[in-house]
Amino acid sequence: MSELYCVRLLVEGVDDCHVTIHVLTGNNVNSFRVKDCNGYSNVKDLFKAELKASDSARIGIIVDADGETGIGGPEPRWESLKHLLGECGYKDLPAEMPQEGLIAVGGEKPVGLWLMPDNTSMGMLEHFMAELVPEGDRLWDRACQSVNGIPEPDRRFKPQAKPKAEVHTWLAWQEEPGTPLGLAVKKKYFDPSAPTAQAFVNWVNRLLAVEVPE
Amino acid sequence: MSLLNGSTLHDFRVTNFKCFEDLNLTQLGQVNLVVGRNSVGKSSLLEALYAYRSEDPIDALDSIASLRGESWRPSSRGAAILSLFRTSPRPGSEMLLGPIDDPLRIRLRAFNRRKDEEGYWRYEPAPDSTPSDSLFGQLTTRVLRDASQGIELQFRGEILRRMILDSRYRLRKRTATIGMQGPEQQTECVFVGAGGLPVSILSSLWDLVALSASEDEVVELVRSVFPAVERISMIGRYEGTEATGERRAFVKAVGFSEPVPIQRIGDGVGRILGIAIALVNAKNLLLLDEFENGLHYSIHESVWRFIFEASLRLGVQVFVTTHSLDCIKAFSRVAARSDAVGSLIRLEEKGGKIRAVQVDEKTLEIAERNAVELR
Repeated sequence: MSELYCVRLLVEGVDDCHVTIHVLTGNNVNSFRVKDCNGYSNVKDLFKAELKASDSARIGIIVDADGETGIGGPEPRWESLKHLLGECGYKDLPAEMPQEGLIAVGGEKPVGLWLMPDNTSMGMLEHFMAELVPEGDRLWDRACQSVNGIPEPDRRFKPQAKPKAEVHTWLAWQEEPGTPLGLAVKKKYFDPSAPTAQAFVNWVNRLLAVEVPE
Repeated sequence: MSLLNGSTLHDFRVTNFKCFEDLNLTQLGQVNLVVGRNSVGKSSLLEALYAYRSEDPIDALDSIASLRGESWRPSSRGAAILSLFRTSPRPGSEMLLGPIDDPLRIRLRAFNRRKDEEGYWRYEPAPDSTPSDSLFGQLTTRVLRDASQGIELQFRGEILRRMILDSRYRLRKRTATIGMQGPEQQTECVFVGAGGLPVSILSSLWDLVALSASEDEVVELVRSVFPAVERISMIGRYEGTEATGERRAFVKAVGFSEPVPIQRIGDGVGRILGIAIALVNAKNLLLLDEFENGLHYSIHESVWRFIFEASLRLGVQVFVTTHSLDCIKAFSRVAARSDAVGSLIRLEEKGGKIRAVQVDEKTLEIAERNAVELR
């Protein structure tokens, strides 16, 4: 038997995993464990399994608001997650995703949901990271101009992935070029006290504050 | 008496029995694995199931203590049953065991006794509103002689059995409105404890399947793990020419012309033999405490395969307890491939009460693939 962790956070991929860890620890939040589920559909499957786990008291789901770059555009992930939560006994869910992140009770354990970047915009982790670029950073503007300056026919990335191109271009020019996202948070290239990061940290703290039976 | 028609239990409640205030299990499978911390009540759950499914639940409750290797003096058998109530029993205290909507009630009642015209003692239930403290604390000597406590077994409103005790919990009188059954019916459910089946029970269960197709199944299972085994037999021990009455399992092993004591075949063989014999004998329920005892992890899967396949074919519902992660992994792999439905039950204490977290096969598979801690 392992110890009881206060919250198990489920994320889609390795970048989400490391960013979550460093944003939270950089803000003095430590009672959590993150699991990289390797894909959105695994997040949903693992959620059901983690509800039954004995080593966590609460669960948080952190996924991109956008689905994979599909044919019709962004997938309605909020709807599919609401459905999942409903199946697992969480009732009275709001019609719209709350801006501060969702906290739901009624099922096996208290559950939280955060849709990257900020629960209201469509987007992904890299939109969230863009908000964490330090205020007034000149290299950020230059990176965005640089990406925008590429003529469309020459762009190899899909339009939905432009934020990734911008963020990784910016990272390529930092003190240690090519630092991965999570490590870049730890090294303070990104600012963990930025408002969007604070909103995320507050959501985790609110989830941690939900009472559970001893 | 069979209270049930032998079909599998879909749900089960245990109320006021040992450590359980009110435990409810739903959506039970054909093969159920019970996990949880030490002393949370895994074995007690098996005992509750055993009592419920037995031909004579009162007798079964009586013998539960010996299932665990506890021994109560015969003169305090009544106390053994009273000790099974979760809270100090007083007249009106009740234990419930059985399907959630249709359980057995085991009730403690006060009885008054008087002599009838022919001079026989008759026992009449006293109202449950007798003094809530020990019945015997405040009564006069004369009243004491005439008052008793008793255990009553009720099902669907009908009183099936009474066991009357005197002031020192000695059995005074047993009444049964149900017939007492012979040894055949004793195998309706089989409990294999953590230490395995006692040799005497192993022998008698072996006798019930010897020379039948079931014997072949038993030998097949043992052979699937220990290929050196050709045949098995229970042979009596002799001192000189006198039979001691004991019997031991022996094996005809490949390459040996003399019988080999079964323990010499390998680690765990006795345990496997016990599980196999119990399963082919159980009519509706097999209970197995601490699956992993004596079994190396590499044979867990073979044993589970046997249990799943035989339980479905023979119509025996199975409940097993374990601490072992290897056991859970093997269980989940076999359940995914078997027609028989498996389920995992974790007992845990929350807010001072023991409750069950139940995991179905599909979720179990995901959990095992992703190292989710279910114990």
